[in-house]
Amino acid sequence: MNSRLFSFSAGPWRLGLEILVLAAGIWILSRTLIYLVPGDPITYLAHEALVDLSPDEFRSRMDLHQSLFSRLFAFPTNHSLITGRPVLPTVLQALSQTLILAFLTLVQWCSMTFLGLWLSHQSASIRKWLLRGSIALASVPLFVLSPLLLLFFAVEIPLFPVSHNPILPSFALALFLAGYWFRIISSAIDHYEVRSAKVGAEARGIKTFSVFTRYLFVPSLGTYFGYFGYQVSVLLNGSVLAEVIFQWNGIGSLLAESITNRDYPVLEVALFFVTTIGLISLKIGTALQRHWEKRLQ
Amino acid sequence: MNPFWNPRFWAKTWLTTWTTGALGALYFSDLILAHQLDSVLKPGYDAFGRNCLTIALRATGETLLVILPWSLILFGLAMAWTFLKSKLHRSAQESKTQTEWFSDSFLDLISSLPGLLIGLSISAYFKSGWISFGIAAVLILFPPLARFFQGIESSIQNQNFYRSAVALGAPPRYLFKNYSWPELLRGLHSIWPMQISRLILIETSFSFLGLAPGTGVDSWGRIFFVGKDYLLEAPWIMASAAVPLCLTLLSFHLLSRSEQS
Repeated sequence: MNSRLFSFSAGPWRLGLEILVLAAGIWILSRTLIYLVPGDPITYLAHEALVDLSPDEFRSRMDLHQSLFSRLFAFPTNHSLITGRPVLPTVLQALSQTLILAFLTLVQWCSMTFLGLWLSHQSASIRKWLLRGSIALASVPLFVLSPLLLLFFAVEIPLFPVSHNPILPSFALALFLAGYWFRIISSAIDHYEVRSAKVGAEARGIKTFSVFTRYLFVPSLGTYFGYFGYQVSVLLNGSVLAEVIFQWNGIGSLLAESITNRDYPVLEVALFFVTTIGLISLKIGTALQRHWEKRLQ
Repeated sequence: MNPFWNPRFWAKTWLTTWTTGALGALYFSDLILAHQLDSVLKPGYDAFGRNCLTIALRATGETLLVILPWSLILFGLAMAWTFLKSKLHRSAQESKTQTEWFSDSFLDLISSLPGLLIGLSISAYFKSGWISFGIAAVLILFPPLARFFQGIESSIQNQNFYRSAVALGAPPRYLFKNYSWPELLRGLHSIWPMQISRLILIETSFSFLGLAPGTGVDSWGRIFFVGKDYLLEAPWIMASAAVPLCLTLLSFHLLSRSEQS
Protein backbone atom coordinates (compact mmCIF):
# COMPACT_ATOMS: atom_id res chain seq x y z
CA MET A 1 0.00 0.00 0.00
CA ASN A 2 1.33 3.40 -0.94
CA SER A 3 2.15 5.09 2.36
CA ARG A 4 1.87 8.50 0.75
CA LEU A 5 -1.85 7.94 0.54
CA PHE A 6 -1.93 7.84 4.33
CA SER A 7 0.58 10.54 5.03
CA PHE A 8 -0.91 13.57 3.39
CA SER A 9 -3.10 15.71 5.61
CA ALA A 10 -6.88 15.26 5.65
CA GLY A 11 -7.59 18.17 3.34
CA PRO A 12 -10.78 18.77 1.40
CA TRP A 13 -9.55 16.76 -1.60
CA ARG A 14 -9.00 13.65 0.45
CA LEU A 15 -12.35 14.17 2.17
CA GLY A 16 -14.08 14.53 -1.19
CA LEU A 17 -12.34 11.42 -2.52
CA GLU A 18 -13.35 9.37 0.53
CA ILE A 19 -16.97 10.49 0.23
CA LEU A 20 -16.99 9.75 -3.51
CA VAL A 21 -15.58 6.25 -3.07
CA LEU A 22 -17.93 5.38 -0.23
CA ALA A 23 -20.97 6.85 -2.01
CA ALA A 24 -20.09 4.78 -5.07
CA GLY A 25 -19.91 1.69 -2.88
CA ILE A 26 -23.30 2.46 -1.36
CA TRP A 27 -24.77 3.04 -4.83
CA ILE A 28 -23.45 -0.30 -6.07
CA LEU A 29 -24.81 -2.05 -2.97
CA SER A 30 -28.26 -0.49 -3.22
CA ARG A 31 -28.54 -1.33 -6.93
CA THR A 32 -27.34 -4.92 -6.52
CA LEU A 33 -29.36 -5.78 -3.41
CA ILE A 34 -32.17 -7.14 -5.58
CA TYR A 35 -29.78 -9.73 -7.05
CA LEU A 36 -29.09 -11.09 -3.57
CA VAL A 37 -32.65 -12.29 -3.05
CA PRO A 38 -33.11 -16.07 -3.23
CA GLY A 39 -33.74 -17.25 -6.77
CA ASP A 40 -34.65 -15.15 -9.80
CA PRO A 41 -35.32 -11.48 -8.92
CA ILE A 42 -38.36 -11.26 -11.22
CA THR A 43 -39.95 -14.39 -9.75
CA TYR A 44 -39.19 -13.10 -6.26
CA LEU A 45 -40.70 -9.70 -7.05
CA ALA A 46 -43.79 -11.28 -8.57
CA HIS A 47 -44.25 -13.28 -5.36
CA GLU A 48 -43.50 -10.51 -2.88
CA ALA A 49 -44.86 -7.37 -4.54
CA LEU A 50 -48.40 -6.31 -3.74
CA VAL A 51 -49.27 -5.46 -7.35
CA ASP A 52 -50.21 -7.76 -10.18
CA LEU A 53 -47.77 -6.92 -12.96
CA SER A 54 -46.36 -8.94 -15.82
CA PRO A 55 -42.67 -9.98 -15.67
CA ASP A 56 -41.87 -7.50 -18.47
CA GLU A 57 -43.50 -4.72 -16.51
CA PHE A 58 -41.41 -5.64 -13.44
CA ARG A 59 -38.26 -5.65 -15.55
CA SER A 60 -39.08 -2.27 -16.98
CA ARG A 61 -39.98 -0.62 -13.67
CA MET A 62 -36.98 -2.06 -11.86
CA ASP A 63 -34.54 -1.30 -14.73
CA LEU A 64 -33.80 -5.04 -14.79
CA HIS A 65 -34.08 -5.06 -18.60
CA GLN A 66 -30.67 -3.35 -18.52
CA SER A 67 -27.46 -5.21 -17.86
CA LEU A 68 -25.93 -4.97 -14.39
CA PHE A 69 -23.21 -2.68 -15.74
CA SER A 70 -25.80 -0.32 -17.26
CA ARG A 71 -27.85 -0.44 -14.09
CA LEU A 72 -24.88 0.62 -12.02
CA PHE A 73 -23.57 3.38 -14.24
CA ALA A 74 -26.73 4.79 -15.81
CA PHE A 75 -29.06 7.39 -14.39
CA PRO A 76 -31.82 5.61 -12.43
CA THR A 77 -35.02 5.44 -14.44
CA ASN A 78 -36.94 3.24 -12.02
CA HIS A 79 -40.66 3.59 -11.75
CA SER A 80 -42.68 2.83 -8.64
CA LEU A 81 -44.32 -0.59 -8.65
CA ILE A 82 -47.39 0.85 -6.90
CA THR A 83 -47.97 4.23 -8.57
CA GLY A 84 -45.97 3.80 -11.78
CA ARG A 85 -44.43 7.28 -11.34
CA PRO A 86 -40.70 7.93 -11.78
CA VAL A 87 -38.87 7.24 -8.55
CA LEU A 88 -36.17 9.91 -8.56
CA PRO A 89 -38.51 12.96 -8.44
CA THR A 90 -40.62 11.25 -5.73
CA VAL A 91 -37.56 10.54 -3.61
CA LEU A 92 -36.12 14.02 -4.10
CA GLN A 93 -39.41 15.60 -3.06
CA ALA A 94 -39.59 13.42 0.04
CA LEU A 95 -35.96 14.26 0.78
CA SER A 96 -36.72 17.97 0.63
CA GLN A 97 -39.52 17.46 3.15
CA THR A 98 -37.18 15.60 5.46
CA LEU A 99 -34.57 18.33 5.09
CA ILE A 100 -37.18 20.89 6.19
CA LEU A 101 -37.96 18.68 9.19
CA ALA A 102 -34.25 18.22 9.93
CA PHE A 103 -33.60 21.96 9.73
CA LEU A 104 -36.43 22.75 12.14
CA THR A 105 -35.24 19.97 14.44
CA LEU A 106 -31.70 21.34 14.38
CA VAL A 107 -32.85 24.87 15.25
CA GLN A 108 -35.04 23.66 18.13
CA TRP A 109 -32.46 21.15 19.35
CA CYS A 110 -29.64 23.72 19.43
CA SER A 111 -31.87 26.31 21.10
CA MET A 112 -33.10 23.89 23.77
CA THR A 113 -29.63 22.54 24.49
CA PHE A 114 -28.05 25.99 24.67
CA LEU A 115 -30.84 27.33 26.87
CA GLY A 116 -30.59 24.34 29.18
CA LEU A 117 -26.80 24.70 29.45
CA TRP A 118 -27.06 28.44 30.06
CA LEU A 119 -29.66 27.95 32.80
CA SER A 120 -27.70 25.13 34.42
CA HIS A 121 -24.62 27.40 34.47
CA GLN A 122 -26.59 29.99 36.49
CA SER A 123 -27.63 27.78 39.37
CA ALA A 124 -26.62 24.41 40.80
CA SER A 125 -30.20 23.47 41.71
CA ILE A 126 -31.44 24.24 38.17
CA ARG A 127 -28.58 22.14 36.85
CA LYS A 128 -29.53 19.23 39.14
CA TRP A 129 -33.15 19.29 37.98
CA LEU A 130 -32.22 19.69 34.33
CA LEU A 131 -29.88 16.69 34.58
CA ARG A 132 -32.68 14.64 36.11
CA GLY A 133 -35.04 15.86 33.43
CA SER A 134 -32.62 14.90 30.67
CA ILE A 135 -32.29 11.37 32.09
CA ALA A 136 -36.08 11.12 32.24
CA LEU A 137 -36.35 12.44 28.68
CA ALA A 138 -33.80 9.92 27.43
CA SER A 139 -36.02 7.19 28.92
CA VAL A 140 -39.10 8.22 26.95
CA PRO A 141 -38.87 6.75 23.43
CA LEU A 142 -39.96 8.76 20.41
CA PHE A 143 -43.03 6.63 19.74
CA VAL A 144 -44.27 7.31 23.29
CA LEU A 145 -43.40 11.02 23.26
CA SER A 146 -44.89 11.71 19.84
CA PRO A 147 -48.48 10.55 20.51
CA LEU A 148 -48.40 12.40 23.83
CA LEU A 149 -47.34 15.62 22.10
CA LEU A 150 -50.03 15.01 19.50
CA LEU A 151 -52.63 14.52 22.22
CA PHE A 152 -51.70 17.66 24.16
CA PHE A 153 -50.78 20.13 21.45
CA ALA A 154 -53.03 19.06 18.60
CA VAL A 155 -56.13 17.57 20.27
CA GLU A 156 -56.55 18.91 23.81
CA ILE A 157 -55.02 22.34 23.09
CA PRO A 158 -55.29 22.66 19.29
CA LEU A 159 -52.20 24.75 18.68
CA PHE A 160 -50.97 22.70 15.73
CA PRO A 161 -52.60 20.54 13.06
CA VAL A 162 -52.78 16.81 13.76
CA SER A 163 -50.88 15.82 10.65
CA HIS A 164 -48.79 17.15 7.73
CA ASN A 165 -47.12 19.85 9.80
CA PRO A 166 -43.39 19.82 10.65
CA ILE A 167 -43.51 21.70 13.98
CA LEU A 168 -44.61 18.88 16.30
CA PRO A 169 -42.44 16.13 14.77
CA SER A 170 -39.39 18.43 14.81
CA PHE A 171 -40.16 19.32 18.44
CA ALA A 172 -40.40 15.62 19.34
CA LEU A 173 -37.10 14.84 17.60
CA ALA A 174 -35.44 17.89 19.19
CA LEU A 175 -36.54 16.79 22.68
CA PHE A 176 -35.30 13.28 21.97
CA LEU A 177 -31.85 14.58 20.99
CA ALA A 178 -31.58 17.47 23.47
CA GLY A 179 -31.91 15.19 26.51
CA TYR A 180 -28.81 13.22 25.51
CA TRP A 181 -26.73 16.16 24.27
CA PHE A 182 -27.43 18.32 27.28
CA ARG A 183 -25.69 15.78 29.52
CA ILE A 184 -22.79 15.26 27.13
CA ILE A 185 -22.00 18.95 26.61
CA SER A 186 -22.65 19.78 30.26
CA SER A 187 -20.06 17.22 31.26
CA ALA A 188 -17.63 18.59 28.63
CA ILE A 189 -18.10 22.13 29.96
CA ASP A 190 -17.41 20.93 33.51
CA HIS A 191 -14.16 19.30 32.38
CA TYR A 192 -13.09 22.31 30.35
CA GLU A 193 -14.01 24.98 32.91
CA VAL A 194 -11.00 24.16 35.10
CA ARG A 195 -8.50 25.14 32.39
CA SER A 196 -10.59 27.84 30.72
CA ALA A 197 -10.01 31.59 30.79
CA LYS A 198 -13.41 32.14 32.39
CA VAL A 199 -12.08 33.63 35.64
CA GLY A 200 -9.90 36.12 33.80
CA ALA A 201 -12.75 37.12 31.52
CA GLU A 202 -15.08 37.70 34.46
CA ALA A 203 -12.38 39.75 36.20
CA ARG A 204 -12.14 41.95 33.11
CA GLY A 205 -15.86 42.70 33.45
CA ILE A 206 -17.09 40.77 30.40
CA LYS A 207 -20.77 39.95 30.65
CA THR A 208 -21.74 36.53 32.01
CA PHE A 209 -23.50 35.51 28.79
CA SER A 210 -20.45 36.33 26.67
CA VAL A 211 -18.15 34.54 29.13
CA PHE A 212 -20.31 31.43 29.01
CA THR A 213 -20.62 31.46 25.21
CA ARG A 214 -17.05 32.37 24.23
CA TYR A 215 -15.00 30.86 27.02
CA LEU A 216 -16.97 27.73 27.94
CA PHE A 217 -19.62 26.67 25.44
CA VAL A 218 -17.83 27.13 22.10
CA PRO A 219 -14.46 25.63 23.16
CA SER A 220 -16.24 22.60 24.71
CA LEU A 221 -18.33 22.10 21.61
CA GLY A 222 -15.46 21.58 19.21
CA THR A 223 -14.63 18.04 20.24
CA TYR A 224 -18.17 16.95 19.46
CA PHE A 225 -18.35 18.02 15.83
CA GLY A 226 -17.70 14.45 14.80
CA TYR A 227 -20.58 13.25 16.94
CA PHE A 228 -22.87 15.92 15.46
CA GLY A 229 -22.23 14.34 12.09
CA TYR A 230 -23.13 10.95 13.52
CA GLN A 231 -26.31 12.41 14.99
CA VAL A 232 -27.60 13.11 11.47
CA SER A 233 -27.93 9.36 10.91
CA VAL A 234 -29.60 9.10 14.34
CA LEU A 235 -31.94 11.87 13.16
CA LEU A 236 -32.70 9.97 9.98
CA ASN A 237 -33.42 6.84 12.03
CA GLY A 238 -35.74 8.79 14.33
CA SER A 239 -37.42 10.59 11.46
CA VAL A 240 -38.96 7.29 10.26
CA LEU A 241 -40.99 7.00 13.45
CA ALA A 242 -41.78 10.71 13.70
CA GLU A 243 -42.86 10.93 10.07
CA VAL A 244 -45.07 7.84 10.37
CA ILE A 245 -46.78 9.10 13.54
CA PHE A 246 -47.21 12.72 12.41
CA GLN A 247 -47.87 11.75 8.77
CA TRP A 248 -45.15 14.00 7.42
CA ASN A 249 -44.34 12.97 3.84
CA GLY A 250 -40.59 12.80 4.25
CA ILE A 251 -38.13 10.18 3.16
CA GLY A 252 -38.54 8.19 6.38
CA SER A 253 -42.24 7.78 5.79
CA LEU A 254 -41.57 7.02 2.11
CA LEU A 255 -39.12 4.29 3.10
CA ALA A 256 -41.55 2.81 5.64
CA GLU A 257 -44.31 2.79 3.01
CA SER A 258 -42.11 1.26 0.33
CA ILE A 259 -40.99 -1.46 2.76
CA THR A 260 -44.58 -2.30 3.69
CA ASN A 261 -45.74 -2.20 0.05
CA ARG A 262 -42.57 -3.96 -1.22
CA ASP A 263 -41.98 -1.07 -3.64
CA TYR A 264 -38.40 -2.05 -4.45
CA PRO A 265 -37.59 0.67 -7.01
CA VAL A 266 -38.41 3.38 -4.47
CA LEU A 267 -36.56 1.46 -1.77
CA GLU A 268 -33.35 1.24 -3.82
CA VAL A 269 -33.08 4.94 -4.58
CA ALA A 270 -34.35 6.17 -1.18
CA LEU A 271 -31.93 3.91 0.67
CA PHE A 272 -29.01 5.26 -1.36
CA PHE A 273 -29.87 8.89 -0.58
CA VAL A 274 -30.46 8.30 3.11
CA THR A 275 -27.26 6.33 3.57
CA THR A 276 -25.13 8.78 1.59
CA ILE A 277 -26.44 11.76 3.56
CA GLY A 278 -25.54 10.03 6.82
CA LEU A 279 -22.07 9.24 5.48
CA ILE A 280 -21.40 12.77 4.18
CA SER A 281 -22.51 14.34 7.46
CA LEU A 282 -20.25 12.06 9.50
CA LYS A 283 -17.24 12.75 7.28
CA ILE A 284 -17.81 16.51 7.37
CA GLY A 285 -18.31 16.40 11.13
CA THR A 286 -15.07 14.45 11.62
CA ALA A 287 -13.15 16.84 9.35
CA LEU A 288 -14.50 19.85 11.27
CA GLN A 289 -13.53 18.20 14.55
CA ARG A 290 -9.94 17.62 13.37
CA HIS A 291 -9.72 21.20 12.13
CA TRP A 292 -11.08 22.51 15.46
CA GLU A 293 -8.66 20.42 17.50
CA LYS A 294 -5.72 21.69 15.42
CA ARG A 295 -6.80 25.29 16.07
CA LEU A 296 -7.05 24.66 19.81
CA GLN A 297 -3.54 23.21 19.81
CA MET B 1 -26.89 5.02 52.87
CA ASN B 2 -30.55 4.06 53.19
CA PRO B 3 -31.32 1.84 50.18
CA PHE B 4 -34.76 3.41 49.80
CA TRP B 5 -33.06 6.67 48.76
CA ASN B 6 -30.78 4.91 46.31
CA PRO B 7 -32.08 5.03 42.70
CA ARG B 8 -30.00 1.94 41.88
CA PHE B 9 -31.98 -0.05 44.44
CA TRP B 10 -35.28 0.93 42.81
CA ALA B 11 -33.90 0.31 39.35
CA LYS B 12 -32.83 -3.21 40.28
CA THR B 13 -36.11 -3.88 42.10
CA TRP B 14 -38.15 -2.77 39.12
CA LEU B 15 -36.10 -4.78 36.64
CA THR B 16 -36.20 -7.93 38.78
CA THR B 17 -39.94 -7.69 39.43
CA TRP B 18 -40.94 -6.85 35.89
CA THR B 19 -38.65 -9.44 34.29
CA THR B 20 -39.97 -12.15 36.62
CA GLY B 21 -43.52 -11.17 35.69
CA ALA B 22 -42.60 -11.19 32.00
CA LEU B 23 -41.10 -14.68 32.16
CA GLY B 24 -44.15 -15.88 34.05
CA ALA B 25 -46.41 -14.33 31.41
CA LEU B 26 -44.50 -16.16 28.69
CA TYR B 27 -44.98 -19.43 30.55
CA PHE B 28 -48.73 -18.90 31.06
CA SER B 29 -49.30 -17.27 27.67
CA ASP B 30 -52.36 -19.41 26.83
CA LEU B 31 -54.21 -18.01 29.81
CA ILE B 32 -53.11 -14.47 29.02
CA LEU B 33 -54.19 -14.48 25.41
CA ALA B 34 -57.74 -15.46 26.35
CA HIS B 35 -60.29 -12.96 25.12
CA GLN B 36 -63.08 -11.61 27.31
CA LEU B 37 -65.42 -10.17 24.75
CA ASP B 38 -67.60 -8.45 27.35
CA SER B 39 -64.56 -6.38 28.46
CA VAL B 40 -63.59 -4.90 25.08
CA LEU B 41 -62.17 -1.37 25.56
CA LYS B 42 -63.18 -1.33 29.22
CA PRO B 43 -60.61 0.21 31.60
CA GLY B 44 -57.64 -2.16 31.70
CA TYR B 45 -58.67 -4.13 28.61
CA ASP B 46 -57.69 -3.70 25.01
CA ALA B 47 -59.72 -3.76 21.80
CA PHE B 48 -59.76 -7.57 21.84
CA GLY B 49 -60.87 -7.97 25.45
CA ARG B 50 -57.44 -8.96 26.77
CA ASN B 51 -56.01 -7.66 30.03
CA CYS B 52 -53.54 -4.87 29.14
CA LEU B 53 -51.14 -5.51 32.00
CA THR B 54 -50.70 -9.20 31.22
CA ILE B 55 -50.30 -8.40 27.52
CA ALA B 56 -47.59 -5.87 28.41
CA LEU B 57 -45.83 -8.48 30.57
CA ARG B 58 -45.94 -11.01 27.76
CA ALA B 59 -44.67 -8.38 25.31
CA THR B 60 -41.70 -7.80 27.61
CA GLY B 61 -40.97 -11.52 27.58
CA GLU B 62 -41.12 -11.55 23.77
CA THR B 63 -38.71 -8.61 23.63
CA LEU B 64 -36.29 -10.28 26.04
CA LEU B 65 -36.28 -13.47 23.95
CA VAL B 66 -35.17 -11.41 20.94
CA ILE B 67 -32.66 -9.02 22.48
CA LEU B 68 -30.76 -11.26 24.89
CA PRO B 69 -29.22 -13.53 22.22
CA TRP B 70 -28.35 -10.52 20.07
CA SER B 71 -26.74 -8.73 23.01
CA LEU B 72 -24.46 -11.75 23.51
CA ILE B 73 -23.67 -11.83 19.78
CA LEU B 74 -22.86 -8.10 19.77
CA PHE B 75 -20.59 -8.30 22.80
CA GLY B 76 -18.88 -11.33 21.29
CA LEU B 77 -18.37 -9.55 17.96
CA ALA B 78 -16.95 -6.46 19.65
CA MET B 79 -14.54 -8.55 21.76
CA ALA B 80 -13.48 -10.57 18.71
CA TRP B 81 -12.87 -7.32 16.79
CA THR B 82 -10.74 -6.00 19.64
CA PHE B 83 -8.70 -9.21 19.81
CA LEU B 84 -8.17 -9.34 16.02
CA LYS B 85 -7.22 -5.70 15.82
CA SER B 86 -4.67 -5.96 18.63
CA LYS B 87 -3.22 -9.12 17.05
CA LEU B 88 -2.96 -7.40 13.65
CA HIS B 89 -1.45 -4.35 15.29
CA ARG B 90 1.32 -6.39 16.91
CA SER B 91 2.10 -8.44 13.83
CA ALA B 92 2.19 -5.44 11.44
CA GLN B 93 4.52 -3.10 13.29
CA GLU B 94 5.64 -1.21 10.18
CA SER B 95 2.13 -0.50 8.97
CA LYS B 96 0.39 0.42 12.20
CA THR B 97 -0.93 3.60 10.64
CA GLN B 98 -2.58 1.65 7.84
CA THR B 99 -4.28 -0.85 10.15
CA GLU B 100 -5.46 2.00 12.37
CA TRP B 101 -6.76 3.87 9.34
CA PHE B 102 -8.65 0.89 7.94
CA SER B 103 -10.06 -0.03 11.33
CA ASP B 104 -11.21 3.51 12.15
CA SER B 105 -12.58 4.08 8.66
CA PHE B 106 -14.54 0.85 8.81
CA LEU B 107 -16.08 1.78 12.15
CA ASP B 108 -16.76 5.33 10.89
CA LEU B 109 -18.51 3.93 7.85
CA ILE B 110 -20.74 1.66 9.90
CA SER B 111 -21.48 4.51 12.34
CA SER B 112 -22.59 6.76 9.50
CA LEU B 113 -25.13 4.28 8.18
CA PRO B 114 -28.70 4.76 9.41
CA GLY B 115 -28.85 1.28 10.90
CA LEU B 116 -32.54 1.23 11.63
CA LEU B 117 -33.45 2.21 8.07
CA ILE B 118 -31.06 -0.32 6.59
CA GLY B 119 -32.39 -3.06 8.84
CA LEU B 120 -35.93 -2.13 7.84
CA SER B 121 -34.95 -2.12 4.17
CA ILE B 122 -33.29 -5.54 4.48
CA SER B 123 -36.54 -6.85 5.94
CA ALA B 124 -38.26 -5.95 2.66
CA TYR B 125 -35.86 -8.17 0.71
CA PHE B 126 -35.28 -11.02 3.14
CA LYS B 127 -38.41 -11.15 5.31
CA SER B 128 -38.67 -9.35 8.62
CA GLY B 129 -37.21 -11.25 11.52
CA TRP B 130 -33.96 -12.07 13.23
CA ILE B 131 -31.68 -11.18 10.33
CA SER B 132 -33.04 -7.71 9.63
CA PHE B 133 -33.23 -6.89 13.35
CA GLY B 134 -29.70 -8.24 13.81
CA ILE B 135 -28.35 -6.14 10.95
CA ALA B 136 -29.91 -2.99 12.42
CA ALA B 137 -28.60 -3.85 15.90
CA VAL B 138 -25.07 -4.51 14.62
CA LEU B 139 -24.95 -1.34 12.51
CA ILE B 140 -26.16 0.83 15.38
CA LEU B 141 -24.43 -0.75 18.36
CA PHE B 142 -21.26 -2.43 17.08
CA PRO B 143 -19.16 0.73 16.32
CA PRO B 144 -19.48 2.41 19.75
CA LEU B 145 -19.03 -0.94 21.50
CA ALA B 146 -15.96 -1.78 19.41
CA ARG B 147 -14.46 1.66 20.08
CA PHE B 148 -15.14 1.32 23.80
CA PHE B 149 -13.37 -2.03 23.96
CA GLN B 150 -10.53 -0.73 21.76
CA GLY B 151 -10.06 2.13 24.23
CA ILE B 152 -9.77 -0.33 27.12
CA GLU B 153 -7.37 -2.51 25.12
CA SER B 154 -5.20 0.52 24.24
CA SER B 155 -4.97 1.59 27.87
CA ILE B 156 -3.93 -1.93 28.89
CA GLN B 157 -1.31 -2.08 26.12
CA ASN B 158 0.30 1.05 27.56
CA GLN B 159 0.77 -0.56 30.96
CA ASN B 160 4.27 -1.68 31.99
CA PHE B 161 3.20 -5.22 32.90
CA TYR B 162 1.75 -5.68 29.40
CA ARG B 163 4.84 -4.33 27.70
CA SER B 164 7.01 -6.58 29.83
CA ALA B 165 4.93 -9.60 28.85
CA VAL B 166 5.21 -8.65 25.15
CA ALA B 167 8.98 -8.19 25.52
CA LEU B 168 9.23 -11.64 27.10
CA GLY B 169 7.53 -13.10 24.03
CA ALA B 170 4.06 -13.87 25.40
CA PRO B 171 1.73 -14.97 22.57
CA PRO B 172 -1.29 -12.78 21.70
CA ARG B 173 -3.76 -15.33 23.01
CA TYR B 174 -2.04 -15.46 26.39
CA LEU B 175 -1.98 -11.66 26.61
CA PHE B 176 -5.64 -11.37 25.69
CA LYS B 177 -6.75 -14.11 28.08
CA ASN B 178 -4.76 -12.98 31.11
CA TYR B 179 -4.59 -9.21 30.76
CA SER B 180 -7.19 -7.88 28.34
CA TRP B 181 -10.11 -10.21 28.96
CA PRO B 182 -10.62 -9.33 32.69
CA GLU B 183 -10.51 -5.60 31.91
CA LEU B 184 -12.88 -5.97 28.97
CA LEU B 185 -15.32 -7.86 31.17
CA ARG B 186 -15.10 -5.10 33.74
CA GLY B 187 -15.79 -2.55 31.01
CA LEU B 188 -18.68 -4.65 29.77
CA HIS B 189 -20.14 -4.59 33.27
CA SER B 190 -20.32 -0.78 33.07
CA ILE B 191 -21.73 -0.59 29.58
CA TRP B 192 -24.20 -3.45 29.30
CA PRO B 193 -27.24 -1.59 30.76
CA MET B 194 -26.98 1.13 28.12
CA GLN B 195 -26.59 -1.44 25.33
CA ILE B 196 -29.59 -3.47 26.52
CA SER B 197 -31.73 -0.31 26.64
CA ARG B 198 -30.72 0.56 23.08
CA LEU B 199 -31.51 -2.97 21.91
CA ILE B 200 -34.94 -2.68 23.49
CA LEU B 201 -35.50 0.59 21.61
CA ILE B 202 -34.43 -0.94 18.29
CA GLU B 203 -36.66 -3.99 18.77
CA THR B 204 -39.60 -1.83 19.81
CA SER B 205 -39.11 0.43 16.78
CA PHE B 206 -39.10 -2.62 14.52
CA SER B 207 -42.26 -4.03 16.00
CA PHE B 208 -43.92 -0.59 15.95
CA LEU B 209 -43.42 -0.56 12.19
CA GLY B 210 -44.78 -4.09 11.91
CA LEU B 211 -41.46 -5.80 11.22
CA ALA B 212 -40.93 -7.57 14.50
CA PRO B 213 -38.72 -10.61 14.78
CA GLY B 214 -39.84 -13.43 16.99
CA THR B 215 -43.21 -15.13 16.97
CA GLY B 216 -45.15 -12.13 15.79
CA VAL B 217 -47.44 -12.10 18.81
CA ASP B 218 -47.93 -8.72 20.47
CA SER B 219 -44.64 -7.12 21.32
CA TRP B 220 -44.12 -3.72 22.90
CA GLY B 221 -44.04 -1.88 19.61
CA ARG B 222 -47.24 -3.51 18.34
CA ILE B 223 -49.06 -2.48 21.52
CA PHE B 224 -47.96 1.12 20.84
CA PHE B 225 -49.00 0.84 17.23
CA VAL B 226 -52.47 -0.37 18.16
CA GLY B 227 -52.73 1.86 21.24
CA LYS B 228 -52.10 5.10 19.38
CA ASP B 229 -55.35 4.59 17.46
CA TYR B 230 -57.24 4.35 20.76
CA LEU B 231 -55.35 7.14 22.52
CA LEU B 232 -58.51 9.13 23.26
CA GLU B 233 -61.02 6.33 23.91
CA ALA B 234 -58.75 3.88 25.73
CA PRO B 235 -55.44 5.51 26.79
CA TRP B 236 -54.72 2.59 29.14
CA ILE B 237 -53.83 0.40 26.14
CA MET B 238 -50.83 2.56 25.33
CA ALA B 239 -50.12 3.39 28.96
CA SER B 240 -49.88 -0.31 29.86
CA ALA B 241 -46.88 -0.58 27.54
CA ALA B 242 -45.52 2.98 27.77
CA VAL B 243 -45.15 3.13 31.56
CA PRO B 244 -43.26 -0.17 31.96
CA LEU B 245 -41.08 0.62 28.93
CA CYS B 246 -40.15 4.07 30.26
CA LEU B 247 -39.47 2.69 33.74
CA THR B 248 -37.34 -0.10 32.27
CA LEU B 249 -35.31 2.32 30.15
CA LEU B 250 -34.95 4.69 33.11
CA SER B 251 -33.73 1.81 35.29
CA PHE B 252 -31.12 0.85 32.70
CA HIS B 253 -29.99 4.48 32.40
CA LEU B 254 -29.64 4.80 36.17
CA LEU B 255 -27.75 1.51 36.40
CA SER B 256 -25.49 2.57 33.55
CA ARG B 257 -24.69 5.92 35.19
CA SER B 258 -23.95 4.33 38.55
CA GLU B 259 -21.74 1.64 36.92
CA GLN B 260 -19.80 4.29 35.00
CA SER B 261 -19.37 6.49 38.06
